[in-house]
Amino acid sequence: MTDNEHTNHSADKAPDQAASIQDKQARIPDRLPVMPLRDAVVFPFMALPLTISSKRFIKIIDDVMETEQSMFAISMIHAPKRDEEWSPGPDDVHHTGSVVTVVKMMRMPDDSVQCIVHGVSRCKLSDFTQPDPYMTAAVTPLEEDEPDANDQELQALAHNLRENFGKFSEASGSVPAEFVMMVLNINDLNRLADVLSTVGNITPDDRQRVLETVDLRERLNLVNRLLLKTLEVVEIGKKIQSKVKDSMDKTQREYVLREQMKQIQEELGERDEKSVEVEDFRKKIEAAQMPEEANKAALRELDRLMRMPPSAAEYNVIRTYLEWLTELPWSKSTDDNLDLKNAQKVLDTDHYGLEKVKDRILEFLAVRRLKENMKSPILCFVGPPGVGKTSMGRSIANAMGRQFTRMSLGGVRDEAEIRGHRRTYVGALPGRLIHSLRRAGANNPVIMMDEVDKIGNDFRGDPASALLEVLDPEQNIDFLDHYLDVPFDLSRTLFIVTANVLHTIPDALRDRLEVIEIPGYIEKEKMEIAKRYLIPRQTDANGLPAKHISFQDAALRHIISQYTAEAGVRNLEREIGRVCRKVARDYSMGKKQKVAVTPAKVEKYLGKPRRQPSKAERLSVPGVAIGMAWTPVGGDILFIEANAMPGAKRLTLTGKLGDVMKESAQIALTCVRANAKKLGVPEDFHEKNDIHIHVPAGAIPKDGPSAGVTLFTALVSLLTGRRVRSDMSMTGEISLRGQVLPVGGIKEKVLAAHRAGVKVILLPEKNKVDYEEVPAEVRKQLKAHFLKNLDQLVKLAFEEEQGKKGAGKVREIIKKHGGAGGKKQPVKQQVAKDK
Amino acid sequence: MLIIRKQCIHKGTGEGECLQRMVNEFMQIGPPLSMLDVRMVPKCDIYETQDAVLIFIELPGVEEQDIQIAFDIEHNVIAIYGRRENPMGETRKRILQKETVTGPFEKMLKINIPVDTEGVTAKLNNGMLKIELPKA
Repeated sequence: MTDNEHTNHSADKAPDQAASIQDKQARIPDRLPVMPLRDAVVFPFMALPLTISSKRFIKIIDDVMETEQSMFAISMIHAPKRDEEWSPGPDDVHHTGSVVTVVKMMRMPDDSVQCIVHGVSRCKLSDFTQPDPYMTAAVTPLEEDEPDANDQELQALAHNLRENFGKFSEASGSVPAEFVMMVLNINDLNRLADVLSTVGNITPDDRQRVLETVDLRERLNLVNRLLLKTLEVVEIGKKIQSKVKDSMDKTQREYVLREQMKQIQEELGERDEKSVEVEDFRKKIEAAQMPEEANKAALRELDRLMRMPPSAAEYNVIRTYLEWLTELPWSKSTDDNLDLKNAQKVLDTDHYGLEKVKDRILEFLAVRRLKENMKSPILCFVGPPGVGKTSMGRSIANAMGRQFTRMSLGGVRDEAEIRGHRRTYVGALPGRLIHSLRRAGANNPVIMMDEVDKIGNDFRGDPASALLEVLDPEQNIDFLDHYLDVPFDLSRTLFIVTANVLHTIPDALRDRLEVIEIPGYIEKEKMEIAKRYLIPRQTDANGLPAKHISFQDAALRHIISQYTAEAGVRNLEREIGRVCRKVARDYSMGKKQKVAVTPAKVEKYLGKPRRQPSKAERLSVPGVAIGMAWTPVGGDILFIEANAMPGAKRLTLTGKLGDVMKESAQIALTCVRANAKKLGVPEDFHEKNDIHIHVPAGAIPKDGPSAGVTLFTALVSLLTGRRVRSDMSMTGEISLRGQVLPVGGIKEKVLAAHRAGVKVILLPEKNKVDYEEVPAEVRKQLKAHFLKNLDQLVKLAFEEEQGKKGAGKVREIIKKHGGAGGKKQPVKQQVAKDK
Repeated sequence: MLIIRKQCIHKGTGEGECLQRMVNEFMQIGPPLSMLDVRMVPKCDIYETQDAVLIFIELPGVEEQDIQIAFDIEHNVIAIYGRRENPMGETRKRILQKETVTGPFEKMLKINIPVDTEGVTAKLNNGMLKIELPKA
């Protein structure tokens, strides 16, 4: 007995087994049945359990069991697998295989056979017979080298191999300890090499190579290489595993802690914050009664919310989105107050005048009453500042019983302000429209967009174009805000936009608007407004008892005409406020008696009038005519002065005139020259004189063609010496052939002229319609003439009686210049004297 | 030797169960904790001839009176129970080596060939139990 036999079970068995197998090796028959197997390599001394169900192979087992040795050969198939019927031939198998012996066999009830075979020897197979009933071959056992125990190199190789196997078993962790012990106790190097070629994921093909390598040295090297390879694979796998485990551990820990927290909260009766929130949203979504598309989007987002930890950054984004979605008035609307009389009353209480606007609103309500689902119009109030456009909006909402929201578009230059930002952006929010709707809390509010003419645009997009969609009753049924990304029906909303001027609004946008012009107020209206609204309001604002202060009509008129010059009533209110303040001061100091404000008191409180109405005296010389101008704050009158001096053919234009106005002046001059004879103007005046036209005030830029007739009149007046009527103002473009063409802004111009005290106005024939829109009170006080051509103008414009006198003088002067040529002095003197 | 016939011997003879056990014993796959359950597993050969099924079981050191053969008619299972006594009995001794297993054993074999359980003969000879089952 050796030491080994006592210490280890398998080791003490080995010599017996070896002996029996060596005994068997000596008795290998020359020819044996061959069993081709896939992916199976049997090494000598190693057991292999087989389950055999193929009839052919069962026959092999049956036959060899009858022999004493119970041996057959196994060789690995290298041909690819084919169908069920196929049985591999000699060319499909490796010709190096193993001789095995059946140790045990057992027939199963289904006639398949279980057996355990032991490897006996490596062998070379040759001289195959065809596979019927099974393949047989001539067997040449391959003798293994008997290793020399003193061979240092072999021992070193074996040592190396054992060491690598040790590392492998440690790294893989799945090798049973018994196996490790057994391997480490194998002394036969042939066996060691064979056994180690079965560990890890060494492939059957590699094992076949080991089987074929009979030379021990070579085989040890080969196995060592294979083992190292598999060791590497295991180590890399382990590394990956440990990394994965690390990250898993972290999330696992978090998860466990979170679950614990949930449990604790539940124990404490506090429901998990998130689930409360989700439940909340679910209720809100139901309550909101969204249209299908929005509902779907909301539920989808809610689902995402549910599956997200509240710590995720995305969580808050979704929450905000859902808040927006649920708080919008998808199906909430207010009932319209369709009582027309009541509406009329409300509108009248809030605003004086503005009949056109009021009529339009009442019409809207009337139609709305007849037709439930009418499309709301888009109204646009255009007018000078301070005429009450914005407050009218609120009043309309009141009259209709709708919610009112207002947004100012002045200076808005980012398209996203209208339509919102996409949700992908950090801090994205819906646009102002959706904001307004949420604030209104109903889907049929009155939304007022102020200052639509002052919208900007730059590289960030054009908000006006974004408005196109909003303000189109045909399109805004499914208005799509970038943030919401689901359509919202704006068609029930009444949009009112306001603007001071129309021409800065892009055409496409203007086209969608139903424009209602609100012209400036006339004096009488202003007085009404002051009495009804401004005075009570300012009295109250300054803390005076009601009725403590009263304004005489004359005092109001004085304030209106001398202290303010505007189309609206803002300055008027400010001035009234100033008066009230002064009175309030006195009141506080003890003067308790009621105050009646007279014109004198106005001057005392407000100081001397700042605005000097100056008309008549400036027309006392020839060469001056009154024109009418349109400005964003209403209208104004302007004086056009012309003068002549010795020179030649030069036309000087001053007063910051624009190109169109300059050209207009040239046309006027041409018309004068062309008709010189008819007008009674010396035909060569232009040869001998320079003409200078100036339009004060010089600092204010002016442009437009509408001063054509005025320029012409001023020139004719200068050159004929006839004075223009001082109570007359005019407007109109002139053509080169002497036609008078229509111009814009008639209403504002006429009102301004009326404010300035003009009595007669000259307008182009084609503007007659516009004149009709001027309030009747004003028209009553004016005399209007409509011009077709310049001949009519000449007939109307000049003062007859005085004109002749003046005309004579000037003609004389010009004649002198014409004759003498270049005598400047007299003209200057004359003009100076006249002024 | 006691030969008994029963409708059903006990649990563990049901369809499949017995077969599984036979395979496990064949493959030397022990039940869980087999290291602790060191029992005697007699080896056996089974042959089929023209007229009979012959079963040979290695039972060295077992007395004939300690063997019991039972048939489970329902499941076609033949069970061999018995025990191997320690030949030293109660004698005072010091054990120098101990490898053989003593104590109870059982061997269950499922026979898939119809046999006449009435005509069973069993004989113990030189430690080999021979059971002859005439075919039905």
